Amino acid sequence: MTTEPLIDLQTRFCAWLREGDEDVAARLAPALGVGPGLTVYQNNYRVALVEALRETYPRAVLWLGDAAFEAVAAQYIDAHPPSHWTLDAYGAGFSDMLHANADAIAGDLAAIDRAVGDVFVGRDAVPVQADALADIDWDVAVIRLVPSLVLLPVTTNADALWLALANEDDVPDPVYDDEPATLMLWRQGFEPVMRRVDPVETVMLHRSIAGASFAAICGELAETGDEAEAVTAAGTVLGRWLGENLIAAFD
Amino acid sequence: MTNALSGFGLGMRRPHYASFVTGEAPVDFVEVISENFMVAGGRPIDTLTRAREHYPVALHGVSLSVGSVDGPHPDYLDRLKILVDRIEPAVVSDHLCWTGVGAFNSHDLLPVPLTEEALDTVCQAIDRAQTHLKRQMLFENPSTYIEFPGTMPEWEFLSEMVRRTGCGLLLDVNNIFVTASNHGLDPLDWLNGLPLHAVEQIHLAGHSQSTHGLIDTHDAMVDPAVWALYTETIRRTGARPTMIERDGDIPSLDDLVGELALARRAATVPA
Repeated sequence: MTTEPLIDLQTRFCAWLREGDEDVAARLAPALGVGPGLTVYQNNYRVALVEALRETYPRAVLWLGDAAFEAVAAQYIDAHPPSHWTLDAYGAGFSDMLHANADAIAGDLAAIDRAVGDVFVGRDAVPVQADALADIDWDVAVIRLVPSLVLLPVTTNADALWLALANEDDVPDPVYDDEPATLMLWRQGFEPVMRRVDPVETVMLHRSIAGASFAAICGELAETGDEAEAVTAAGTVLGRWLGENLIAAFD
Repeated sequence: MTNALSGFGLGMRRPHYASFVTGEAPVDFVEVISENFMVAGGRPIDTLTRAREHYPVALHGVSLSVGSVDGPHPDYLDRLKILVDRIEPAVVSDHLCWTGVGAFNSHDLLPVPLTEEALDTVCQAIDRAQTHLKRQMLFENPSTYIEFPGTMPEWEFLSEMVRRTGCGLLLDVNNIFVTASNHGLDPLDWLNGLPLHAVEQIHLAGHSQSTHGLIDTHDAMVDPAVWALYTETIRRTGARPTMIERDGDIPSLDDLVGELALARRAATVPA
């Protein structure tokens, strides 16, 4: 029996799976195989992706409602066929699509959903405790933050909405900000946590991630104000980070 | 904790994690979906590590894609190796299937055409995977809903796959029943045609009837006809580690343990 080369068959089968238009799908279907269930595979494909998006973006689902979520999920699946071997990677651009659809709240909620999921399975680290500070050479020490840390820009109060939806509390009214704020998400033990970042922290976070020493960061903060106040402010943030299990090491 | 599968186990699913990490679940082994634990850190790794302290573990993958012309993804193999080294499982398995080609992954277990070319592709991929992991793997017979034009029956394909690669078989009795029903075949043809000495583990699961035939949904109790086929399988293979997969409409752990008792009974073959 002459059979179609495997690569041709597999390429055509995948095109058929992706093709949402029933007429086009019907043209691709003949000779794909015989049996009762060609459509079973197309159903499995789309259902699995919708469920993956639903599982990754639970608060966005709650905010949008099932019907609106499924509509945008279908739009996303048509535009973004999965390519990675793990289904966990699917939907990385879902929040961008919601933003592009002019739904900033849903977009920010989805971005938080995604970040929480990433933080949940982020690399483990044993946080530095306060009693380790005595041995630090502060002239050269670089703060290394825990590897699960994610910084996320938002332009709404989606963080407050997200927490209310997660805790089944009364959901506050949406607020749209002119200036983006930064959220930080990381893991304490096994639990993801999230809060807003203040301006001094923003500088310290970005400069620490870039490899600047604590002393250098204090110097940079002092350039825009009083040196003693800058050191005090930086020290306060450092103490907070230690208490929040945010520091993995001093390099 | 012994590191070999025997007796009767369950798929470890999220609603029942608490009973597995404490060792309270009355099972002989657990099986987990490998990909759920191929992560950098956090609670999933801790959960599996703690369960491993109480039970032998079978890692069961869905993404190796041995039937794809692309072969297994290098990153996938690396991540699986890390998990294998970390958990030291009793068994590592995947499916006779493919999931995608090129820059597309369907995340479904797609049917392999039963041809010589596909057999070569599958065997090369299994060789690569077993070499990378430095251990034998088991491969599961699939539920299929279509048949591509092919040149051999599934049992012959699987037999040759075992002969060429030295892999073992994870015999899914429900999949035999579903595939045979969908294609008008006799389930006993699998038992007659497979190298049963290579069967290292057995899966049982429920299926559902759709307008397109039987579907391997894992969302119901094992069908009576599948129990009968399982008893016949054990009569031919002797005792084999057996487990029930349940992924939808998941009942209480007590209910699943009760269903597992049916497996113990069904495996008690009169001399």
